[in-house]
Amino acid sequence: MTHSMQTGVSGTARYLVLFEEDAADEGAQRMANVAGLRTVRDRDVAAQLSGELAGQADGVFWLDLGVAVVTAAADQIDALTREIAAHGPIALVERERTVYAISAPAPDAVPGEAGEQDFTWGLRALNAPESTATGAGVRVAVLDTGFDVDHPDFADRAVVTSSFIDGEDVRDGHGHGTHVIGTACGPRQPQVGPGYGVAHESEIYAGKVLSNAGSGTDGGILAGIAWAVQNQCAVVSMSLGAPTQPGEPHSVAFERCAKRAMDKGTLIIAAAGNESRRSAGVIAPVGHPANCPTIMAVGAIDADHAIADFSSGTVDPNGAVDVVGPGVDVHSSWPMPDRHNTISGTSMATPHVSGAAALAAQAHQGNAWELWARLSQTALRLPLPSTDVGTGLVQAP
Amino acid sequence: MLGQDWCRHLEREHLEVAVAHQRKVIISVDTDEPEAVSGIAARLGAIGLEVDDILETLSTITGTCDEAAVSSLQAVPGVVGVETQRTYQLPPPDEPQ
Repeated sequence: MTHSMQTGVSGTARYLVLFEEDAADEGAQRMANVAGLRTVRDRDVAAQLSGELAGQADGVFWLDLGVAVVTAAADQIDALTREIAAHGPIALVERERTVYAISAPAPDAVPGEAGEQDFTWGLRALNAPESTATGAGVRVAVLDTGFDVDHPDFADRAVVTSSFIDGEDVRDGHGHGTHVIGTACGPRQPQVGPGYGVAHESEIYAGKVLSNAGSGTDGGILAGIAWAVQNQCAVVSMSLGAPTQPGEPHSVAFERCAKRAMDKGTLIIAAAGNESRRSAGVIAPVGHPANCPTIMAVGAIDADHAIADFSSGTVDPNGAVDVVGPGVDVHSSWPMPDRHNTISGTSMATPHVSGAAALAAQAHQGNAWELWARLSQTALRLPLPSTDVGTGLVQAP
Repeated sequence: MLGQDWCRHLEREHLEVAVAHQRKVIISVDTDEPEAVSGIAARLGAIGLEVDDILETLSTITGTCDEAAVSSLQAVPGVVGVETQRTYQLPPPDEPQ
């Protein structure tokens, strides 16, 4: 790795030198031999400065971290760079970066390619195609308008279904449910169009808690959550919400249920809501039940990593956006004969996160609390307010 | 004739008012032991709750009751909270979902 060099007054600059694992001592010695760069252990710095140690040090190295910081001239760095190719103890050389205060302008977001290729832009934004995880062995419950059980893209998948709507079976007469199940759990290589499913080998639990007309109640949703928990689903994906007023407290009942679910191994992930009209200056609070602290609230970004116009925000402490997912122009399954559809909403962002959660559950085998931590920790930080994006864009493991 | 019409009108109004004062509620309880939760549900049923679901795994009971009965539900041993249910409606197809 080379950088254009801005040299100091004396023709030198500061560099980080990374050593191979457990080779710091050897690396420090090699630096001295090939480049004439003498370094002292971090613990010896005080002694060096007070003159107790002989000679002039060019830098410091940390045994535990396996890295050194040195002041070096161009020819010395050339010598170290050649050492990298020799596959010895020196692994990497990098210009030391200058750290700025928080008010520095953030770099521009790298624009995504909105056109579909082998995979939807959403899958690529998650780095899902690169992940070796598939969701195999992980049960994902999607609580929505049901599922088109005869959809050809799912012909080879076992789907467990249950309807919590009186008088209606699980077959999706709306479309919404089929779409979000497609995003969370659908195929990577459908017969037609790009791959669009994140956890493409997960076990699908389709719970109908919204009618074919798209309506539902807390009672139906809680019944669906209980079903998912009883069936050891690691993830419950809820692309649904009721609008809230700023300052409105979250539901204590749902928060209790969410904690029970978490303790029993089920992470609940819900849409933050679509009531904002940011272009008109309106940012709506996170809806119910995503505004519960123990439910992961998902906002929506577009292919340019910009916050979607409709995406709810953390308007008051009572309801926080936790993460974001791709939620604009999302291609996924739709009831036959349409087969596929492209729609937008935090409803579309949510199953991206749920699918990523299923992949992480497979990869890391921890409990639900740990799963939340994993998703948060590895989220791609975005140059946007955390009130809009939480810890950022969730990534596949 | 007018008197009978008026009576029927009042009856209808009373029915509408009675239905309007029915609430769908979520009842949180302090246990997830199936027998204990069922026991609480039975006591709630006896004082006017029409039980929809007993969700032991979530320590929750859902149902319908008169608005006037809500405070008495709260008083049943083992009940830690009574909340009104919210409703959901997906937006029209041309709006963000």
